[in-house]
Amino acid sequence: MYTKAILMIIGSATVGAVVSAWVLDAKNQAIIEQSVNLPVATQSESESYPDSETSQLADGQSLAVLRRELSLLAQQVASLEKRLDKRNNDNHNKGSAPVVSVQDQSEAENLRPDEVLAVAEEEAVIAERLEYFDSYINSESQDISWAAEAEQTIYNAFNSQELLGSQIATVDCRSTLCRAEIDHNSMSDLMNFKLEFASKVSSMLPKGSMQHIESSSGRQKTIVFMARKGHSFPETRE
Amino acid sequence: MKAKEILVLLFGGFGYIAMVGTSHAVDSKIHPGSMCQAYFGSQEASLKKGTGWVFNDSGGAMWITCPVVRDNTTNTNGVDVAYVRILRASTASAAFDCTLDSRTTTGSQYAWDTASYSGVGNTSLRFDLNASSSRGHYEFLCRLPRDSAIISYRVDEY
Repeated sequence: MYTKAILMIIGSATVGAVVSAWVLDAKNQAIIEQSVNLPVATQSESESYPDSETSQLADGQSLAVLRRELSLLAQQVASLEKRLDKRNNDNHNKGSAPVVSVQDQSEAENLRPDEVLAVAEEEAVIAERLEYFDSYINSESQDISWAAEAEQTIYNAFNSQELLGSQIATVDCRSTLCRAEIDHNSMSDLMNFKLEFASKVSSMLPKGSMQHIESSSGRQKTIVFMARKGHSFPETRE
Repeated sequence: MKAKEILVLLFGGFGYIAMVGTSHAVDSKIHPGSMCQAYFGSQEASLKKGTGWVFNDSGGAMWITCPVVRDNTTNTNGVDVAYVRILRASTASAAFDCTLDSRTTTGSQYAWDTASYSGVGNTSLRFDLNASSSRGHYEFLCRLPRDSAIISYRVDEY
């Protein structure tokens, strides 16, 4: 009597578990496809599994793969958001403009998650490159005569009519690199600077790299690194 | 035994040639100067584009931008080499300046290399850009003196 009742309970529980697992799987599949926009199996892929048992097995496996990928993507997004938050905090302390968060960027540009990740990774690479130049130039000794001449070339560039709306905040030349911070009166002056500056210093500093920052007060600022003629920028840590 | 040695040498030789060939493979493209456009749209009418050249007929120097079709869209080590073939007129007063820019996806100048010419006649400006932004683009930005022209520009990508 008892044995029969126990068997019935176990039987109905097993059936219930199987049914709810199937329903949950179907729901999860729909949610995953909606939120991540992962590719759905094509007709030819489905046809390559003619046997229904094999098909269920393959669906189960692909669901597991998708779950794993989703989990990995979530981890990557969390890690990148953490890095961007750290950078935002650093920039806030320095008075710089915040970097756009992964979520904001996704919403603003309607990008797919993988594209958001790619852009965020690229921004991180660019920021790391400039940070590396910063630390590199600080470790360089100074070639006094060359540095003086290079700094004078940079100052002279700002005597021209085209760059009247931009002012040098700081200039630091060492032996192969120069770093300058430039303030701009307006966005239009920033555009003029971007157009004219490189050619005005190219006789001594033909190679360059720049980053534009909008300070919290709304002022336009540019950080420029320039390499001595005959030299290239140092290799970044990649 | 001899045949075996010959075969080994032959395949070794082919392998070496294939390896050397691959390691030095570059993707070279030459664009006609007529692909360039005036930086300021209002000056476009002063740019004459005949026989694939772009010629400045404005009476003064002007900025032009020349697009580059990028094939390797993800490398970060720039380009192997690039050239701009130019003609600077004897009536020109400004220097012929060109900059090869690597831009980011948001349009910022990630890296540049500049070359300049103040002589008269035909010459090639050479560029070594050893850094590039993944998924960004390349472009030449040139100050074209009066009566002067860009004949063509070439970019050799890795």
